Parts: sequence; structure tokens; C-alpha cells
Amino acid sequence: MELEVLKTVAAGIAIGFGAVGSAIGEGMIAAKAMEAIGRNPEASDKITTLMFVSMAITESTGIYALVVALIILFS
Amino acid sequence: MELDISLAPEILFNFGFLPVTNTLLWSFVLSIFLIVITLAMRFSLKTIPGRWQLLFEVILDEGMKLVESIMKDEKKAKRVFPLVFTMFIFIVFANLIPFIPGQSALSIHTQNGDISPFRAIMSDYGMVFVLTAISIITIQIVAIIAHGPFGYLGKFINLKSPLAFVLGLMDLIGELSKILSLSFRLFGNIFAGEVLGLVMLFLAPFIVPLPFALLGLITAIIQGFVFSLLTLIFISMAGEIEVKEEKKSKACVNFNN
Amino acid sequence: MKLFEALGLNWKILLAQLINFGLLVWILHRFGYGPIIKFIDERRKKIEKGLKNAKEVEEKMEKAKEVEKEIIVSAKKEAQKIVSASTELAKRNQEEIIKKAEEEAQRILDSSQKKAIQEKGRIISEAKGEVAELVVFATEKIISKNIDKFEDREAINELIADEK
Repeated sequence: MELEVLKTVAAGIAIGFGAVGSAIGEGMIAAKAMEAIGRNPEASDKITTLMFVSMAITESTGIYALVVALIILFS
Repeated sequence: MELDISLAPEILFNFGFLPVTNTLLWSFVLSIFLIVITLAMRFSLKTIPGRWQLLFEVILDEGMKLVESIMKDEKKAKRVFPLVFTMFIFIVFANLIPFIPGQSALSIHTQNGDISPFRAIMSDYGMVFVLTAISIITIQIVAIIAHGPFGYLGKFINLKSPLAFVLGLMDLIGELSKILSLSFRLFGNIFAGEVLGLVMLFLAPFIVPLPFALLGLITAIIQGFVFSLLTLIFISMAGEIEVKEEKKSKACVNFNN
Repeated sequence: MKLFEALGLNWKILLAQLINFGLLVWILHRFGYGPIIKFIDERRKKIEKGLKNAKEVEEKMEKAKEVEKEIIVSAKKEAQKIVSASTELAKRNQEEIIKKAEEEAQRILDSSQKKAIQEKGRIISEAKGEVAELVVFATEKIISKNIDKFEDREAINELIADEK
């Protein structure tokens, strides 16, 4: 019972802290992309595509946190 | 009302030795749906396109253009296009199916309790893992064809210097983490969307879940796009023959983490 | 591997899904995208060709229109020319005919006048002769004596001539 509670808490902490980094990173990417589009609207198609790709890569850390949380919860 | 969130899909029935889960059933249905639509489109092609044909053609043509712009080679692009485009429409449609209303109203009684016959396909890790496995295998095949089997192996196990050896190991880890990040990105997003919708519905059944549903709708399309685009980019990266080994592998590690 | 269990991973399901997706890709590629993209490319070519043809046809039409205009203008000119020439000709003919008619009339008039004068002369001379004879006859009768016919006649003729 004790271990079960600890696991739940640990998983919550893991995903919570893990989400912070990737959230900040994605926010910065979005801000910079908007800036770039504002400066050069013709390139918006290319910038949008690249934005999504880089966001997806930034998200990786958050996803690792999710995986870790899942592993903690279910093993 | 009790919140029941399970990572695993529910098994509806056993078809011979194959246990058919709700996600597997829906992916079969979706496959048939896509095939029917595509074939109907193909056999009703007209020189002067109607509205639906135009929509279909624009999506197909823009996809082709995007693939060509990333592969930078028309022949290679034509070879990769079917896989990547099928992934895209499959994932997008799979993610959009849960937005058809009325699904949570139905449930089936079994010996394991009440189970819903509907579930977002991509919120089952197995389904996502299969797609990821296909894309990873394709990436590895392309890389081996481009570098030759020993050249490709030499990229990871490099005994020229300690630094090169470490970098090679990092590459290997990067390659493995590709599988994890690619699959868990899609799974995490869709599963989280499902859970979020469920929780919101549990807390406030009216109006409040709507913005989240809208967000989920956007996520559904973007995740399909990102998954297929990343697959495409990995394939095109694997196909590139590297000139400066060290510099490039560093960049590769950065890209994957 | 409790995690795998929790995620619901089962190799049978994975295999089924793998086959399913593989089949989907193959069918869509073989019967869907391939033919459709081919069709789109073909149509693109056709449209390009059609546009080119349309442009050519338009150019030709424009040229034909210009030629038509030229032809019409020249035809009009020609018609004008013909009309003016014919009117001139007609005028000239008219004048000529009138002139001729006038001349003819003049000629007829002249000839008839001449004839009339001649007739008059002849009548007068005849009348004169007769008168002379009558005079001679009368004189003979009056005188009842035939002196010299010839001398008399001469004298009378002289007389008449003098009178003239």
C-alpha cells in the first residue's frame, strides 16, 4: 500500500516537472516562429512546417517524462 | 459516476485465436473505409473535377509537393509517398473518429464488466507501435541501402578514437530513442486528449469540454501531420550520404534528443 | 514486463495490425494514389496543351479578323471605285448621246433646210422658166407676130436675169 502511494506520487511529479521544460521550449518556438512570420509573411508555409517539426522534437523530453511516469506506475 | 481510465484497449471478442480489441476492430473498419473512398474516387475520376474530387486531388497533390520538397528527388519521393501519405490519412482519420458524437453512450456487458465498443485507435499503444515499427524499419532499410551494411554498422561502432566511439554509442541511443519518441508522442497526445476530455466531462458536462474538444480536433490533425512528416524527414536523413562523419553525427544526436 | 501488459501489447494483435496496415498501404498505392496521380499528371499536361492551343487559336482568330477587316476595307474601296467609274462613264455616255442626238438633230435640220432651199430654188427657177415661157407666150400672143424667137428669148432671159 505504501509503495503504491509512493509510485503514484512519483509518477505525478515526474510528468509534472517533465512537462515544464517542453512547454517552455514549445512556447519559445511558437513565439519565434510568429516573429519570423511577422517579419517575412511570404515564408509562412515553410516556417509553419518547420515549427511543427521542431515542436515535435522539443516535445520529446516531455514524452520521455511520460514514459518514465508510465514505467513508474506500472512496474 | 466513476472515472475508469485504462491504458490497454478492451477485448471485445475472440476471433479464432485472435483477440479482437475495440481499437483493432476500428482500425479494420477505418482501413475498409479508406479503401472504399479511395477506390470510389479513383473510378469516378473526371477530367473536369467535382468538389470532392478537387479536395482529394489538392490534398494528394500538396502532399506530393511536400514530400518532393523534403526528399529533393522526384523518384525517391514517389517511392516514399504512398507509405507516408497513408500514414497521414490513417492517423488523421483515426484521430477524428472519436469526435463523431454518441460513442460514449454505448457499452457492452461482458464478464469483465461494461466496456465501450468505441475507442480512439491511436490511444492504444499497440496500434501506434505498429506504425512506428513500420516507419523505423523503413528508415533502417533506407539507411542500409544508402550506406551499405558495413558502412551503416561502422557508423555506430567506431574504434578510431574514444570520442568517436562515444559518439557512435550516442547515435545508437538516438536511433533507439527515435522509436520511443515517435510512438509515445502520438500515443501520449491522443491518450491525454481522451483522458482530458473524459475528466472535463466528469467535472462539468456542459460547455466547458467544448474548447478542449476543439483543441483535440487541432491536435488530431497536427499529430497525424507531425508523425508522417517526422517519418519522412528521418527517411530523407537516412538516405543522405554523409561527407563529414563527425560533424553530422553530432547534429544527428542533437536532432534526436 | 508489467508495463507491456498494462499497455495491452499482444503480439497477435500487433501482427494483425501490421498486416492490416501493410495491406492498406499496398492497396491504396496500387489502386489509389498511383492511378490518381498518373491521371492528374496527364490532365495537367492536357490542360497545358489545351491552353497553348487556345492561345494559338486566339492569335489566329485575331489575325483572321485583321485580314477580314482589310478585305472589307479594300472591297469597299473597290466598290466605291467601280461605282464612281460607272457613274462617270454613264455621265460621259449621257453627254455623248445627247451630243450625238443634238448633232443628228442639227444634221437633219440642216439637210432638210438645204433640201428646202434647193426645192425653193428649183421651184423658183421652174417658176421663172414657166413665167418666162408664159411671158413669151403672152407676148407672142399679144404681139401676134413672131419676129425672132431666139432673139426674143434672149432678151427676155436677160431681162429676167437683170431682175434677179
